[in-house]
Amino acid sequence: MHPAFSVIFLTTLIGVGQGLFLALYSSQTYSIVNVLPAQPGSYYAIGGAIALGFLVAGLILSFFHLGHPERAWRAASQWRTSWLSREIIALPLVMSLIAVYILANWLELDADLYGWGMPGQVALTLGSLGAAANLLLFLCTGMVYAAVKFLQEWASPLTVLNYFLLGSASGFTLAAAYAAYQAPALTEFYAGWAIILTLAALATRAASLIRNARLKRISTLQSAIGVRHNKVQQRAMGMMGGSYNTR
Amino acid sequence: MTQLALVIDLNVCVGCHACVTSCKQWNTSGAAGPMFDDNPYGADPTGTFFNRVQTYEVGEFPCTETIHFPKSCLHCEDAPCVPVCPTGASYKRKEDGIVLVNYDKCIGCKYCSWACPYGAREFDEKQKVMKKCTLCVDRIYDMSIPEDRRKPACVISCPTSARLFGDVHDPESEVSIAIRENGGYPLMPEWGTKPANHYLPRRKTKLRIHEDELVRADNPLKKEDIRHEVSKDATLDDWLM
Amino acid sequence: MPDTEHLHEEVRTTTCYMCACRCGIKVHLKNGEVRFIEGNPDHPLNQGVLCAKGSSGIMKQYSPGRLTRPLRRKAGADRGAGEFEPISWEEAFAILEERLGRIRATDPKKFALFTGRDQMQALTGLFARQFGTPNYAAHGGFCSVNMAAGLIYTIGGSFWEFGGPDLDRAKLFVMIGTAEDHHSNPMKIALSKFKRNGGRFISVNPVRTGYSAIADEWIPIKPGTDGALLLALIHEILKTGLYDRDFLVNYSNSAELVNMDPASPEYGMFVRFEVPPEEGCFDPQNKLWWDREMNRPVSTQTPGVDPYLLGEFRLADGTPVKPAFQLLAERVEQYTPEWAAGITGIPVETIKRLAHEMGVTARDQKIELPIAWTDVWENEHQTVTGNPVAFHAMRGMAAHSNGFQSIRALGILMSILGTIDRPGGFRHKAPFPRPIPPCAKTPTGPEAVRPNTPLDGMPLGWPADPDDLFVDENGGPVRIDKAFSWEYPLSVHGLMHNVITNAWRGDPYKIDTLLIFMANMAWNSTMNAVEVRKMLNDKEDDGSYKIPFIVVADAFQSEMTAFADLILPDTTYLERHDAMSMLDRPISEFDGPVDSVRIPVVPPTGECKPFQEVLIELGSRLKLPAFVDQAGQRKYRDYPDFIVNFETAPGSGIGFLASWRGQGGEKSMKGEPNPNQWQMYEKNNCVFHYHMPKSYQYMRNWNQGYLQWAQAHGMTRHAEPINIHIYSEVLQKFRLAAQGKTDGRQPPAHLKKRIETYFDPLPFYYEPLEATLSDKHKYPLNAVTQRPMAMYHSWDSQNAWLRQIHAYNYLYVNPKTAAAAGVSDDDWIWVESQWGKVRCMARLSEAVEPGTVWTWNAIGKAAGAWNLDPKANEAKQGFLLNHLISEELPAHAAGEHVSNSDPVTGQAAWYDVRVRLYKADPGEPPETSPQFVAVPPAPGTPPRRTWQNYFAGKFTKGGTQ
Ligand code: SF4
Ligand code: SF4
Ligand code: SF4
Repeated sequence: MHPAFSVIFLTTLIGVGQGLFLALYSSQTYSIVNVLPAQPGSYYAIGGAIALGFLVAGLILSFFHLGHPERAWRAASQWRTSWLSREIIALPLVMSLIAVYILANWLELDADLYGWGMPGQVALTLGSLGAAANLLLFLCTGMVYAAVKFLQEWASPLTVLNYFLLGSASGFTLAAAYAAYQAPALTEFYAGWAIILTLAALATRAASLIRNARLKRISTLQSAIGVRHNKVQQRAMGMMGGSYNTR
Repeated sequence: MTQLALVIDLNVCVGCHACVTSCKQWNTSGAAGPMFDDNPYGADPTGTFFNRVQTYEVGEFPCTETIHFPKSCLHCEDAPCVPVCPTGASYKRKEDGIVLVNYDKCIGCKYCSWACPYGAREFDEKQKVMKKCTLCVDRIYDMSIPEDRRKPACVISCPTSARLFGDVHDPESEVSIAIRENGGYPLMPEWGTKPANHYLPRRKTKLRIHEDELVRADNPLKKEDIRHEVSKDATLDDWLM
Repeated sequence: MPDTEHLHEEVRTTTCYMCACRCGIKVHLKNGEVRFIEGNPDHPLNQGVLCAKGSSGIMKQYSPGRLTRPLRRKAGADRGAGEFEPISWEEAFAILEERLGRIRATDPKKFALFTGRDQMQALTGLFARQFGTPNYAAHGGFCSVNMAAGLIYTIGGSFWEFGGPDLDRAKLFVMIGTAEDHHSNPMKIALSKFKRNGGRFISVNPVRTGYSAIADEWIPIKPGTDGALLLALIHEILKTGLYDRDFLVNYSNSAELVNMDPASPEYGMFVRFEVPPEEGCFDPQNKLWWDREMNRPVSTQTPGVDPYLLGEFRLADGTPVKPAFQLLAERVEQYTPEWAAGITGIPVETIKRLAHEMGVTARDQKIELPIAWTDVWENEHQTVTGNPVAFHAMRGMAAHSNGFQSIRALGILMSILGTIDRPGGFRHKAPFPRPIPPCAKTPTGPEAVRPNTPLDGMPLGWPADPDDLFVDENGGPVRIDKAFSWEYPLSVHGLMHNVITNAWRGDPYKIDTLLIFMANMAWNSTMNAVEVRKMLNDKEDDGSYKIPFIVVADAFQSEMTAFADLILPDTTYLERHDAMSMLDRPISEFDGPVDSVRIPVVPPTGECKPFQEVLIELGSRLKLPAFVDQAGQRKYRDYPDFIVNFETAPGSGIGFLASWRGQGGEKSMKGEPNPNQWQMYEKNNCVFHYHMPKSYQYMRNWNQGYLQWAQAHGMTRHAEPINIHIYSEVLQKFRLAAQGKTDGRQPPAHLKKRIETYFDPLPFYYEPLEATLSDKHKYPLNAVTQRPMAMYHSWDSQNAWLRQIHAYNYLYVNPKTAAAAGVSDDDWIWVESQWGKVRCMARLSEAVEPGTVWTWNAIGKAAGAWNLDPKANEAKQGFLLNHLISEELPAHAAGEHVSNSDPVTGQAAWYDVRVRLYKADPGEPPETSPQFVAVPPAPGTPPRRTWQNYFAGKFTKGGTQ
């Protein structure tokens, strides 16, 4: 099964957006506890907007792979069973939470929500919610693939992890670039994590590749047609132009 | 609970493709139609078909078996294509177990086709919706069709009657008996999809001849036993056993 | 979702014609457009089922390949270029009337009419005869005439339309040399029932596809060696005494005594004791047996006598004699399984086991049916018995130059097993069995062809001896295809495959007009397609065409239509009346005669006109006696009117259709014309099936009741026994003539040896002629073709659904053979014979014997033909094996231009060709070679849709170019 190019592209874009948001969120969290220097709200707002931009772009692109985009709203209905449906719910959720986060940061809204007597509680709250939703979205996106048992290469927790790590790594990398431009003090932080995440992503990706290489096919030509013989060869597909899944 | 299904007898299927085109002609002008054909008269013609007949070779010359293998949606009892559908367009009917796609709900995301281990789903490139075998749901309940013809188009056309149709949950149905008595099997049971369609394997008839059957008292050669003075050696004499 | 209401608006019954099986169909129409075609459950042939072709009839009906207007080649355009201008039917008829009228008034043989896979030979043959030309035949000569002739000259019937295996009761079924589904639905139905009932099915074939795929055992064999296998089987069965002696004694000429005196002019003929009381085309019962008890000759069929089958005797006058069976035994002595193994590639053990399986099953699993019947010698039998071993064979055996004798061997094998017209064996279909040979005869000399006069005899017939040949005083041919000449004396279906070459060369003479109906003679139906295409376009020094005028009638823009001067657009089967007549290629069942009709279910497309109407119109205009009354006025309004009112002879009561005859439609088989006959057929599913009483259904060669009934109903001329010809006197007569031992006609000197060799009264094996004239080291492989189940020859590439199944073809090669040639899967390769070479793609297959390569027939197309896009896969990746096959043998002792055919019957030896293969150069273009210049769509052909959504006759938003 070869996913359409638009599908690959959109998951990448959305992953970058998600990762960028996570990067912003983590640096903001660090700064609240004074591990990193604080930045103005506009820094997070603009960064968040960039992340949101990626998500919107991804969403728009995702329409391209639909036969009937005008009916896309229906896709939210099957959240009980379909990870795709869940992803489709999670995506706007993430987007709206990011939007609120942007707004709050832009307006530098704050309040002592928890009586901790320190600034940034609103941003932290909204950021945490956004981060949680983001993780959920990573889970959904990963599970869209990992849940297809029969695509053995994907049917593994590594798929979810890969999505998370790849998205985060690219997001942190982007954040590093953004920071280099807007908040050089954070560059190292982002870059450091970007390197760690990239290495982790490489490791899990390598683990997937090793797993895939070692994968023992559950199905064989023999079980596909139910004939036991060690030499079974397909001679004709029935249609010389192939069928929908072979052409 | 009823589970309608096809049982395909590989013992008699000769790979004639009758089921393929009969399916196409019924369904293109029926509830599932039209069924798209791309480049019908040009290079690389292709199109939407719900049923295809593949060919396999098993073993090596001269012990080769050629297997013709008709394949369509197997109407899995635990159909993985259904829960993955985000819109609910893909569904399994409670009343008869047929797995169908509601074209009006389908957004054409193709997720179900990834989930189907059997490659049974057919995306209609023109209508942009997922299609598949409907078990001719618009035939089998149509009371205007005589009862013995109220079956899927592929079943009524199959010249070797290799395709049986019925309720695999009814132990006394023709299909259940065929599965039971002829070693019917599902495809790729390893996925736990419980395909409703089953296949019947090749069965071989052999003949064993005992040596004594070649030598018998009533052997007609024994009637040709007289020598004549004019005859040279009767040429078949030395053949007598 | 589209509107699916009113789906069953109208259902009309007619007959399929996507192939020659002629199944009954029900056509569902929605608003007058075809919505669904299903098999008619009440039709005896297909019992409700329908094959892939039949189920794609819709795409034939609406194909862009359809011709819709009469067309004339544009002045100045070359033949083959496909440049045409539309003309009216009136113009077309005027051209034909003038031209054919002139030919008929001067030299009718200059008009040649050859037809393809049609089933209107009763009408086309009548037209030719009435016209007065001997130059008429259908496609049988290049199809399976060996199968027809080989068996009809042996058992009085043959396979397919003429008879077949009784799989309802057989226990062992052996299929030899049958393309993957020849024939189609009836065989499929029977085969699956047979297998389900536990029958044992063995397939002998170089290739395992189609029917062979479901065989219990596949016995791969080298092409052209079936005869060797069959003779070895006969050897083994004789040696082990597994033959049915009673059957042979009573129902064959096995026990009849043959004159063995080499000095006698009667040498090799049966000894006869008196002159027959009546001359006719039957075997007079005036021959001798040798009585075992009295040890003396007695007349055959003397009650109570048990004759010898083996031995050597001397008559009172000293004449040495032997029973025919003794001669057979002597003949097959040399044909041991060991000998055959080396030729066929089948292990000795397998051959022996096969023989034993046949013999033991036939002997030990006898069927006895409680059906009383009386034989022609007035013996009453309480039961019908049968030996349940059945056979089926077709073109794989037939299309070799040794096919006739191989098929004789098959007939003899079936006979010694005692399986002829008995339950579980071979059974005839009415009007068979026929006398050996059947009565129809051609004229015997050129004087039968006279201006403005019908031909004095049938254009095709069944020679019984050299005097029946259709030759001039020098022994030269009278027909353009040289049929019934000394070159191919028993060419009972003609030699359509040599017509163009002969006409082009002017050998034996030049013709003027060639009318081809529904035969793709510029492509897959001709050998040597590249050269034949040149011949069709070749000119004399004065610039006139060597074949002056070519008319092609077809429903589709085939490769052949491009070469026409005049194209007559035919209708499809859904648009016309047709009669599947018993006077033609019958569709009868074992239990009785069947005929059927087509009724138009949709109106003709454009200006299409059924070819039958064209013939009726032309016949009337030319005032051919059968088509006009005394006053020269047109007799039949149209084809339906002709079918109703035509009688084989005035008042004979026999017409094209056998049932609903008589004024009120109350008579069948015979009766006055009934004006409402069509309506009655239509009301009755378009088919008539006469169920004979059980006592008439078996042993028909010798069944008094049946033969008398058949005689009374005009199906046979004589109610005489039709004894099986284990030993063929007909062949011996030709041999004696060649040896100069007869007073009658004798072959020209250069053909004497040929006739003497191949007209052997007993079957023998010889290597196919082409193999003996080829370098077998250089060309080590046999190359054969078969048509796939989902395509009917070249006919279905314009069919949008079927061409998705077979868009192009591969050459199938055994992996060992491929490895030896350094070829792997999907490689481009060259296949080369001594005649030419073809570039194509290889596909490895374990289902083909290593000495054989094969491909699907007629998938490859010339660019633009059938109104396919010139870039269609059929043209770019599809190929024909025909380019490797010559229509003539290399010059040899028998002549310079001898047809590449069986020397007895003129059957085209398609499968004799020998080839080699090697990898194409990587730099060569990835397309098949040869390629042909694309022809444009003919005027009036429907647009070529670039995509389509077919919905009950409406192409919703169907795209066009
Ligand atoms: S129609 Fe029947 S015999 Fe033909 S391919 Fe289909 S299942 Fe096989
Ligand atoms: S065969 Fe595929 S499409 Fe059909 S029910 Fe099973 S999973 Fe779904
Ligand atoms: S076998 Fe198929 S194509 Fe031939 S007549 Fe029957 S249904 Fe038609």
